[in-house]
Amino acid sequence: MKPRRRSGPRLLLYSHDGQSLGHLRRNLNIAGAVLERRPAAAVLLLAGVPGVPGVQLPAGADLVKLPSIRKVDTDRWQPASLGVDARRLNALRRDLIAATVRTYRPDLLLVDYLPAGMGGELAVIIDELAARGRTRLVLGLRDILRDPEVTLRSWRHNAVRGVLGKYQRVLVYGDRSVIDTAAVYGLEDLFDCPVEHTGYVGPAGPWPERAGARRDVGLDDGWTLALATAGGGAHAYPLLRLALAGFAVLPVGHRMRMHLLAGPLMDQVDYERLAANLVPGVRLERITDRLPTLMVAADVVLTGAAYNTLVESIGLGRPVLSMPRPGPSAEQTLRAGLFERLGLLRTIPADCSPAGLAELLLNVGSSPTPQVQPQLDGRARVASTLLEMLDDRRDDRAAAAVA
Amino acid sequence: MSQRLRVAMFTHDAYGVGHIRRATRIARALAAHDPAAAILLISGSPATRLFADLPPNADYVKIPTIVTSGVGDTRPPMLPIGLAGLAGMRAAMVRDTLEVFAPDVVLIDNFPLGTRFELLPALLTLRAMGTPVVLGLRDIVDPPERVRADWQRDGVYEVLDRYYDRIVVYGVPEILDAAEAYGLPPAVAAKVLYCGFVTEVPSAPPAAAPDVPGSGDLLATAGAGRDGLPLLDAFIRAMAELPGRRATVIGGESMSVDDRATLQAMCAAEPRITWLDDVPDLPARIAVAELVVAMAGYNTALEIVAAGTRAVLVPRTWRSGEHATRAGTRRTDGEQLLRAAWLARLGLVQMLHPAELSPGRLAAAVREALAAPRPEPGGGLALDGADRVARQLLGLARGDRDDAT
Repeated sequence: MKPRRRSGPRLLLYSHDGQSLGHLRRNLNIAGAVLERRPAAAVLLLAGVPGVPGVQLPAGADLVKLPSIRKVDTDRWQPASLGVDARRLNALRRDLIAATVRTYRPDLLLVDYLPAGMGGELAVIIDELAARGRTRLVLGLRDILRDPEVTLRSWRHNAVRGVLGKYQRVLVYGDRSVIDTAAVYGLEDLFDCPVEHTGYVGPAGPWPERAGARRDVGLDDGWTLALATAGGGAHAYPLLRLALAGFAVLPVGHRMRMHLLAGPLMDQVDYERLAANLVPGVRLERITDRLPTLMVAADVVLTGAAYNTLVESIGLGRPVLSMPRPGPSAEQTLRAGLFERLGLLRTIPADCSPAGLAELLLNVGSSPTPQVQPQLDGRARVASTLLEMLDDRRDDRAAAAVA
Repeated sequence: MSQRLRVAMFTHDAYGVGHIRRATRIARALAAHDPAAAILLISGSPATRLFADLPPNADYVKIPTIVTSGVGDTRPPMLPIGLAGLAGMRAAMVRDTLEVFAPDVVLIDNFPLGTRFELLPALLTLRAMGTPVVLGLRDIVDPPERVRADWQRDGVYEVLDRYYDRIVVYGVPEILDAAEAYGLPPAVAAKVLYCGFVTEVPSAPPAAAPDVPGSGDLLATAGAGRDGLPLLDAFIRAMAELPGRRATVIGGESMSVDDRATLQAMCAAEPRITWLDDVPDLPARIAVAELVVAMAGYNTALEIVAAGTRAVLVPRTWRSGEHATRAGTRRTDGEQLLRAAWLARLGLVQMLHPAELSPGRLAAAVREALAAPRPEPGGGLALDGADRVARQLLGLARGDRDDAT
């Protein structure tokens, strides 16, 4: 029999969370998958989420929140709210991260998206962990980063370059048949470790059953629901405004309802402008605790092209009308384009008029059938890979003890 | 410029959300006096939603949660690494945060050493940095004999003497004289300052607010709801003896799934009762209610007094989170009982002793309270505690700066 540790492995999942909840949501999905498979594990999420998330933590997990930052533009950040200068905020986060790592002593560190963390805040601690050699170091990357050129330039930056070689595994939360992330970004050359595509990482489910979900949102037979949502909502206003305007000009006798989900990060002025322009049949909410119900009940999802909502909508087989966020990087435009080419969504043209949107809403049923069904079981794959890496290390130790 | 003041606050994680609401109220009062001040709140509380009430220029750090009592699904998620491990993590994180943030003043809430001595490293560091440290105590921390025993055991008296510059009490000496009740030595007693109650005084006149639902009805709340079952159950049954009355019953965000299901089903059977899982605007609802039935937690009790709403308080006398296992078996006179008894002596509320809690007794107490005139809003109590605490903190912060230049 294998020798058993008194307690389970300790994982630390970092996300910088510059401007949305997406990174943290993905890490939460992974945390849940790890704990389902290894209930004795401890999973600590280290996040800088702006605003105030009402996150549901699975048993065995907890959250450390750093003072929040806000992205000004590419590679420039400032405190989201705390009245100190950027340098002190960076020092605060860096030291808080170091204190967390040194006292928690994780067996595995999974870093989301930024190899050296925001502003290089992870560089020192990753060096320290690599030198000590008892913590597995894993980098998780979504399918599309920023434009390859910008990404590579920021990674060649001194502070980051040294860190790249310390990682023992790179997990790409995407599917090679959609985009070969490793090839596009040249990851195999940059990193001195295996690079693995895991499939898209979505939520755990189970999703509610459709008839019940339709009942819960008050849909009568023969009526359809359009759901407009864009993650935290910081950039959702143009989409929701257009959705509302399009709905308002649907032909008389239509049998559609619309649900606008503004998100906790939408500017209050924008939110109130939406609220002031509501028409019958449209409901506006800032936050909801029944997003799964709404997604299941929906017949079409209007969204940006951010990772999580797209993965969820496509996983549910919902037709998607996507209005990719134009900046600050080309990430969303690239993803929307790729997914559209594969028949996974339809892009809303940049200059779309309310009438044009109404047209799109009415013709949702005639969307092309997808040419590729992307792998969406990344959540499970990531968890298995992380646990395998941890178990390997346990075997190493057992071997060392015998020798 | 760079001379913006920095204020740090440490708030413990204990059950309920009262301490966080007090902390955010003090933070808002600080910002009202000094809008440029940077305010950093440190807490392990899982109720992060409440930090939305922080003013501009403020942010929070959440450290791992450590809550050691409670039952079933009401216990917040904790990292399974043992209490000693958690306290060690928190000690280092709090100390390092304060060292880098380098505040001009620090406010620590209610527990001078935090959980398991976790604040000791931070207190040593702050002393070395010459940072003024203030302890904020609830009007009644706990039953005095328990406070004295805990503080004796943990060496708190020495800690207060050495590491704390001031002790602000969120109350008045008439409800409890801290120096006497907790047996403070003279040097420590000299640091005590009563600031009045930290609460919210409703800005709109409570009488005419027809847009707030529940206006003119009875309202039953048990705060965050973790141990609200006995009271809310009795109230729902008492409604049978209160014909012609309508009521709203609020479960609270921390109520267990089982308790919620039980109470919700009871409410569904009585058309005069509206059940709500939770509300974001409890003070406003308290203000427009005809009468409130509640326990006697600090915030709810003071919000009732501030609004001048009639109330029947049934103080909790078991320890927080333990109603499912301990209620009725291991009762000690609690902080809530002292508070409710004092407010009742002032004629601001009716108190029903929890040992006497039954639907019939509760209905009778409600009828009696309804027959009496509505109390004066504020009840003549000092309710500007947040403002006075803020001024104390800013004074200490500026004083320190003046000394340094």
